[in-house]
Amino acid sequence: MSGRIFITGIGITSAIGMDVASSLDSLIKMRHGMTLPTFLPTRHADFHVGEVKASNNELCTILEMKKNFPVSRTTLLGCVAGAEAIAMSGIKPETIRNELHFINGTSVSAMDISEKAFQKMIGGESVDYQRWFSRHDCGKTTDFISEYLGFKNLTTTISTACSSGANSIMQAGRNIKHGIYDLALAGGTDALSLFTLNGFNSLKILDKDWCKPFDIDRKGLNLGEGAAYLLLESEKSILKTGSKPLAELAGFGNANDAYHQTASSPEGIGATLAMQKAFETSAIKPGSIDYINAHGTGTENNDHSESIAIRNVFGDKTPAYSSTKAYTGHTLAAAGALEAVISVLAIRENLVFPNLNLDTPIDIIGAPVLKLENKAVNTVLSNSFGFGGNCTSLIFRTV
Amino acid sequence: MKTYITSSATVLPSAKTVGANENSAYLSDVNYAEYIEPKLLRRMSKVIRMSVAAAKIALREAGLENPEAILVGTGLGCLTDTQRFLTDMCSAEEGVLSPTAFIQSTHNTIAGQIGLLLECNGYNSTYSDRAHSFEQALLDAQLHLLEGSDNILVGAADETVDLVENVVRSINETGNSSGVTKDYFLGEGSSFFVVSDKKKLNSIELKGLKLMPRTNPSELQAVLTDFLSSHSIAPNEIDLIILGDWPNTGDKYYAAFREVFNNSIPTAFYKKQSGHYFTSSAYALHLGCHILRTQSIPESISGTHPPEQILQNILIYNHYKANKHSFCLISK
Repeated sequence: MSGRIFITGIGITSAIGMDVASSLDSLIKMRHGMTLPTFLPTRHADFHVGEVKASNNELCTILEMKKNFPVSRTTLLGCVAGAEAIAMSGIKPETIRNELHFINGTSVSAMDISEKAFQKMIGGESVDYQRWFSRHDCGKTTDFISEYLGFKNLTTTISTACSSGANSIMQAGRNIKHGIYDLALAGGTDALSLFTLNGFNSLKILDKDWCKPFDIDRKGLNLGEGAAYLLLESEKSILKTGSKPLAELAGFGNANDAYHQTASSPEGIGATLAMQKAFETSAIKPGSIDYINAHGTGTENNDHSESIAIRNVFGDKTPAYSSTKAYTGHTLAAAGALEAVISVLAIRENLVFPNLNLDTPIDIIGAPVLKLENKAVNTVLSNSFGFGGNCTSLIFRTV
Repeated sequence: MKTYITSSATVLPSAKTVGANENSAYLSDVNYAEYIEPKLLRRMSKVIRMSVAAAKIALREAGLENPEAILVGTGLGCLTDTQRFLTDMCSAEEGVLSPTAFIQSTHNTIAGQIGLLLECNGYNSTYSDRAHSFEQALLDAQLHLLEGSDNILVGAADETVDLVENVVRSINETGNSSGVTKDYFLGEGSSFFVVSDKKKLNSIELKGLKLMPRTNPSELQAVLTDFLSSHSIAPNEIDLIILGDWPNTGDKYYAAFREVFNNSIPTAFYKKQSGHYFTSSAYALHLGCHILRTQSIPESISGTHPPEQILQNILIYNHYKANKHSFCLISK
């Protein structure tokens, strides 16, 4: 059994827009979303971050949800993006309710809530554990979004750090390809938190200023937040639902770098293997890739290692490539999903989105795309790499 | 396609109720230096140590150096390092912090560290779905076999830590159907399995695995009946049921489950040994494999008299607060 996997809905919320239309407009106008923190109550007020431009209360208003109730920002963002992907599809509510499998990636989960309560706990204040911590775990974030969107079926949560979103899409794709199920919503969500901002800062891989992916003088990444989901359907499902495919998930590869807990190998071992496996599972050859949406975080280590890996796979024929991290920041578990939606938009609109804020490219695979390009985009490769050596590549194709 | 469990191992550092003469299924007191270099061991939290040890024992028993994929389920991830980094960050008021705890705090540290130590470049993933965390990993192992891979390392781990323990306890002990009795205790542990589509010496067949979201007791019975008949097994052919319950909790789901079987069906309560944690059902599967291999049920966990006949089929049932139900059917 080896079926096709169609993408029939997309939803995205990030620093560059609350939905698909506003995000696309930002991408086209090369408008990034990096600012100093407005909503995150951090002492590091001079660090650029990619915040979603809405407070938790404003997100609750959008979602018609009770305010001042400790629901994590990760969950709220997931609800917003998930609802958009579902609304785009036009599939009957009862089909969504009973047949859809929800595969969600998150690494931060409700840490934004837990860290506030933990601070009180440490300070000796009494804390209502049930109220503040009972939604802490990743599984609960997924369940909450699932219940909000009215799904009754099983949920799956993948937590592989910065590749969680890509792995969720791959997981749904593998299951649909093998006929295990026919309809899935897959992607990821992560909000900004003090935990991750201070964590990445302790690793000294944050750039205080606007990040510069693939620039020779890059100084680190900017953290971002957001959520994005793809609605995925089998051939059997679209015959029943009548959904119109936007694109197809054509290939996927997951490999482990097995080099270091956080750093990528200088030879790009895991990244190379993930891309190679993605080509093996699709009928596509590297030569026919029209655009690579790179992981491109803007750290010294990632952008070097990823460039080497791209050279390993593509030789001296690097396709048009860019990182969109300078628009959104690095949204961790949501990144792979955000960039999957951006890849689908590249195919739908026949556009290659440029890499922002670059002066001098790294001299390994030439320069990324620096201006919006309008050309035929039939196939896109999207990379996501994370802590724990987790590397995942996805290939999208026009239908 | 069939699924076989080639080997399995469990580390339960805080296990309780070991019978005097029992051939116990798990290890409680592990000499980690046997499995991990001292330099690496020093930096590893409990959840990583016990996972690496359980994974290495399962691989050794399978005679396997490197698996084709590493799949790990964890309900709460690396709590020791999460607590440490949170404490440091709050105490230092976001000042200068050591990155070590942060680096090791992500859920995928467990699968990542195993991959790193084994130098395994294969598929690597981590699932976190409360009481389905392990079962999601196991389902994915079956999908890998369907895709043509073999020798999948699949496991689960959760740890407890002092500050967080009160929090977890409060969360687990509140709400409907919490299953809290005098026997209840919060546990921790790690179980790993090598899974293959080929039968080997001592292999246990994983005949069926069924996951359900929120349901009601009568629907549960209907799904159970369907599940058994889809595997051509009558309720009276199940020789032992292993439940994620403690005796006499009055939990209506476990009661509904038992109603499908004869009243005198031999029953084991695995949490009497492992305690409660999100991925404790991985221990139930390991225990079931151990019972089928040794043909003996540890007295300390059996709620009824052990059967006289040969143990052939074991059915494991677990749920968490009326959600995340799972059936797991294994056969000798």
